[in-house]
Amino acid sequence: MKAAALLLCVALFLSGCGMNTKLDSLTMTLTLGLDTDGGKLLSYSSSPVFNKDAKEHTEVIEVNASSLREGRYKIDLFASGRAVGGKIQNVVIGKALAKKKEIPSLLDVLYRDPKNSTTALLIVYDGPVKELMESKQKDKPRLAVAIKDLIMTTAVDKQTVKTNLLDFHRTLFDKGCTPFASEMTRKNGKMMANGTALFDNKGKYVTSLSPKETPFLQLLRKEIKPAIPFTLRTAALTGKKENISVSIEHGKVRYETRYRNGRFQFHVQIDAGVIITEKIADIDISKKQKKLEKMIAHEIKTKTTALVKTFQHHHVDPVGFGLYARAYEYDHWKKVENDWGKAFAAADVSVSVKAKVISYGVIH
Amino acid sequence: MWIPSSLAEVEATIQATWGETPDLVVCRLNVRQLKKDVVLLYLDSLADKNSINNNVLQPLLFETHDATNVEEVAVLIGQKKYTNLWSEVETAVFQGESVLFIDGEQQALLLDTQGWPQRAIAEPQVESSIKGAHQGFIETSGKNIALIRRYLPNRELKVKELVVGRRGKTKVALLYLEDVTHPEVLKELEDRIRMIDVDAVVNTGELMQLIEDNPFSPFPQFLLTERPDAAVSNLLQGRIVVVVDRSPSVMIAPMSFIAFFQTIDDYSTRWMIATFLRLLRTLAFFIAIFLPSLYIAAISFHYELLPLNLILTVGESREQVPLPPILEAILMELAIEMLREAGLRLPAPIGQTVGIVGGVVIGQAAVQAGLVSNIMVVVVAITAIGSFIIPNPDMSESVRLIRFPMMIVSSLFGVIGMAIGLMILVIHLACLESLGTPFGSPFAPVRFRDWKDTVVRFPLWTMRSRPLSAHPIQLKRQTKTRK
Repeated sequence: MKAAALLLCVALFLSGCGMNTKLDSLTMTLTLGLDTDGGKLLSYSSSPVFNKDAKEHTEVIEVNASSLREGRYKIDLFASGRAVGGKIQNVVIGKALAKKKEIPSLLDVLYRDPKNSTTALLIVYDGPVKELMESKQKDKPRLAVAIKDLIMTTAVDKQTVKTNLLDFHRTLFDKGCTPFASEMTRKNGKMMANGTALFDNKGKYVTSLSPKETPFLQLLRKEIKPAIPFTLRTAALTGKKENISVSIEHGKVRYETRYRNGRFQFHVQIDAGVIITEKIADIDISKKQKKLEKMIAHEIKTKTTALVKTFQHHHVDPVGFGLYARAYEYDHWKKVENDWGKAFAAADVSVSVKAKVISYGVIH
Repeated sequence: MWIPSSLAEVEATIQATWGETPDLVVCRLNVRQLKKDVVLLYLDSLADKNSINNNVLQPLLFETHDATNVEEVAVLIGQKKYTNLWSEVETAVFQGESVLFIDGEQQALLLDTQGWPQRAIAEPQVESSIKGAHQGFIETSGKNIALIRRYLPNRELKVKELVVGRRGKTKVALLYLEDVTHPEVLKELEDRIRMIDVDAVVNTGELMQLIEDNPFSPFPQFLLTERPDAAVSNLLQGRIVVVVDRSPSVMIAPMSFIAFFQTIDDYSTRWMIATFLRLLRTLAFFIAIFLPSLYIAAISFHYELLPLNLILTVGESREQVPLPPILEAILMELAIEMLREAGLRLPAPIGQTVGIVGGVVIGQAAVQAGLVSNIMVVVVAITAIGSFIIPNPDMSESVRLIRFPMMIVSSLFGVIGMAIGLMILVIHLACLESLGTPFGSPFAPVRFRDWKDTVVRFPLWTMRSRPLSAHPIQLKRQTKTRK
């Protein structure tokens, strides 16, 4: 018994010591870029450099490869350390590439190799990815941190979404909805979050939602917490070009699903509790609260209805109407599940909104 | 050998027994009570001169009433013993007693005139406490027993005295509550102490090592304390207190692992605070063992473990460090251990210098020179503080030692190695015994009722029974007095 234990101890110490991955000798890809340049697939890696002699803190490597994994082998040729993907924070895909190719096949290695991080944010970049990867912004931290912070904080304000690789995979795999991801671009030399990119059920880029439309996508997806802020014009109420800013603090979004006359019918009932965060317009809220509420409700209804029209036009369903169809009208759903985008395009969607002002703000 | 009856022979025997003993006093007097010559024998250095002069010599010389035999000799000493064995005379003299030989008598009179140099009772140095008593044990077992008796004026408190060591003849006293302590546990301890056959037991720590259940374990299986209140609190739980003469710490047996993380202050502070402090100590225990190895594992194997911002900070701080993480860690850990050891043995005024040198050299220079990283310094510092929080010095030292194998294992196998290390540690702790009682109690074996007084401390009135770890024969400690 004792001899066996001793043998086990010795054996333990003999087994693979060469497996370690020392932080010092790694080239950790923190931001992975994918783009196309006339038929060629370009893959970019941005990784931090930990060396006092290096002038730059970030190493950017560009290679031309047929796939991500092949790209990594090529990156290894350039990188001073071993190229690893365990800490990837962002996967940035050029819009041009996303339009051309179905991206799930490109991202396969990130899902298949367990050493890669699947919690990286998926971002569509409007423009050549090269300019983002090689951009040096003096007032920003390292690129990976800057991009991640930008998306995460903007997503809190609902002007974009945060979608990591797992979210993307789940929404792609689910037949009842289609994937979406955050979108970025550069303006005046600075990077900015730019709404939401929508994909079809094969994972091909279809269209984008602007930062102003994205909050209403989130509302439809019941992602209300912590708040959905937006600004509306009060011309209808005061006759002047003035603003009032409100934010939806809590709300209920209910879906009613029916199948009539060979098509699905969805009725979306939104009950929103809003607070007024800014009032430029000259309105006595306490007197005109009912009218104001109606106006807010109308605004929400117009925006959401337009959004749904956009979805139907492009045969995509980022909200997940299909989930309700599957839950309540399974038999009919079963027939169209493989082409839900088309069935959804033919569906009737009506939205009705009730808004209630729950606070005028601290001064009123 | 019997005591000879003629004084001349006695003197010859004394001469033969104590050749080179300048502090031996042999004093021949004529005693009026007996109308006989006597010889008074004592060791000047161990006996109390005042007591001999006033309580022995004075009555012997001036008392006029008649005495016919040894028993009737009037001396002003309460504790008198008679013997006719020479070996007992020897022992008595060496323990500071004085011996009175009377001409023509076979029996000698042993008088308790002990008075050797001893320290005053002072605040315990190693285990200081905020609310506990400020009396610590000293080097005289009689005084130590007195300190304990003050807390328990109870006839169930028994003292069993044994003698250990051929030369040292150390008095070892076993204190226990007869109606609480399990007799088998007591017998086991007594047997083990009786089996000891050594020259001398200089300190309680030596005795502890001679009778431990598992001498190859890094963990202490008995508790050494210099606090009478801690000793009494353990007595009340059915444990046995071993007072070793000439040693300022007493040994408590049997012990359980978790008791090493408890202090007497825990019971005198409010229960929420005590619970918080105990949780803190438990956390400190794990930090002290695992933090450096976790650092090594994270940097050498599992960079994915660290959040992005932390990994960037760590990476930047390691920019100019030439050593691999394991060497960096061992270097720093050894440095801090050396500092500790140096500070421990140095007199207080020089001790400060060590602190400054250590702080400046390690904290500043090593980092600036690029030998170690900032993060490593932080890790080492937190680890050191973690090990200092553990209240028992023996346990704290064990923890500091275990850290090194953990670091090596984690540098070889990363978190897997740490997990294996932790498992071995847990298995070892679950297997350990203290005087045949489970060391891991109440966790291994699981005794839910005793969890009230472990890493949490329930309010005192809810702990109505004594913990089972020492197998007390009387379980009930108190009645329910509050809701």
